[in-house]
Amino acid sequence: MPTPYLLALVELEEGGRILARLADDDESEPSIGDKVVFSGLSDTGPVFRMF
Amino acid sequence: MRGVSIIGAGITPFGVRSESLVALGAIACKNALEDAGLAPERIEAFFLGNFAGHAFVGQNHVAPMVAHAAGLGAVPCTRLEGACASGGLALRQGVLAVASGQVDFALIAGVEKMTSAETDETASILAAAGDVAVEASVGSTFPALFGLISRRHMHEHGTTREEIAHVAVKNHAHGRLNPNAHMQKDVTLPQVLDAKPVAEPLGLFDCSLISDGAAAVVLCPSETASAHHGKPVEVLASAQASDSPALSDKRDITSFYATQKAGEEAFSQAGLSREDVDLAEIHDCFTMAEIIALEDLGFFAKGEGGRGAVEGMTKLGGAMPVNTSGGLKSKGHPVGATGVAQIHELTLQLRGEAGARQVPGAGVGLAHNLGGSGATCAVHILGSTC
Repeated sequence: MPTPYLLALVELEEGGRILARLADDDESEPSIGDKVVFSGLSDTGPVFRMF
Repeated sequence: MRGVSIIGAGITPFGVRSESLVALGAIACKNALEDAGLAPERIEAFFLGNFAGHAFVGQNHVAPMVAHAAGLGAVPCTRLEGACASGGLALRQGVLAVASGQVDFALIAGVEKMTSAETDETASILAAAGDVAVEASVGSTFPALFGLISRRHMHEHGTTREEIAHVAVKNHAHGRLNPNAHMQKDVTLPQVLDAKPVAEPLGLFDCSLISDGAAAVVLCPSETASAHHGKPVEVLASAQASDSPALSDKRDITSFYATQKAGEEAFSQAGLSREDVDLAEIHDCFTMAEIIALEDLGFFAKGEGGRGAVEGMTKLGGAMPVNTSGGLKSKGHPVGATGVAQIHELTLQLRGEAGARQVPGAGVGLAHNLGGSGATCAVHILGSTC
């Protein structure tokens, strides 16, 4: 798996939490409390991107 | 249930070792038996902590192999696997076997041989101690999980990067005094803070070591312990608890419920308070893990565990030294051996035999052994009899 990559514990609006990848094509630095949206599925499961 | 005491302790040096997995285990067992002055034929049960013998070196069914190599008879041999808490679980089963009266002499060991695997492979093997389906599958390793935990602790409780780094500085200073430690050298605060990132905010010196090694102890009933060793060490409490393996299932990732529960149970069994503990061996698989454990065990209020190393309370010479052995951070972390190695260190300390790292007047010691990201925890409290 190419490094580095971003992982986040994502709290879903529908309830529950999942560990998922954050798309790293965004230049902003993610931090706790930032909103993310579902971006799609990859070989490693769901990927989110910054809202 | 009757009282149980430790009458012998043995260990191998931790690090990159040329001996096989089985040979390492046998060396530690023989050292413990020699320390106890007990012939191997006297042992009636053997419990071995080993996490991943097959994955690391292609060997399963390790308990009878180590027992045979150590010269034990045809006794029950049982391997315990609870990730990094495998050694603690093995000790607890031995304590129960002696306490219940089922056996009079039990040998407990822990062993792992990790350095013959490539680092990527090792990370993958260790990741299987987490929930593979929901964590490892998305690329999570244990440094990544503890990186997330660290970020959240800093966010919620104001713990600083410097406080976390001080744990590494402290434990390396202790490990420098331990001739069996894997990395017997000091590290400075700038070295820790400027080290290569592994999983931010954690860098190279925030992570425990990939090591080979083994440790063992001999148990017998307390009522006969002094006949076998001049300084037996009494097991005052043996507790174990569990929690969900995946971070996403935990109510709070800045605390480990299994540690809280096992800690409460241990203090209840021992009839002691936190103030009674003179030293502790804490599962510092990552620097932040020590801070969280000190909070979960009730030695510090939530969010204040970082003060321990910064203000010197957990250093040698402080109010309650933590990880005088160097901890997983400096002594090394051969996974299956770690829980038993913690007991080995406390045994030396409580017998007054820890040399340059001796805690003066040590009377009560606590060992905290964590598996995975908090799914399994064993807590033992030991007391000096000399």
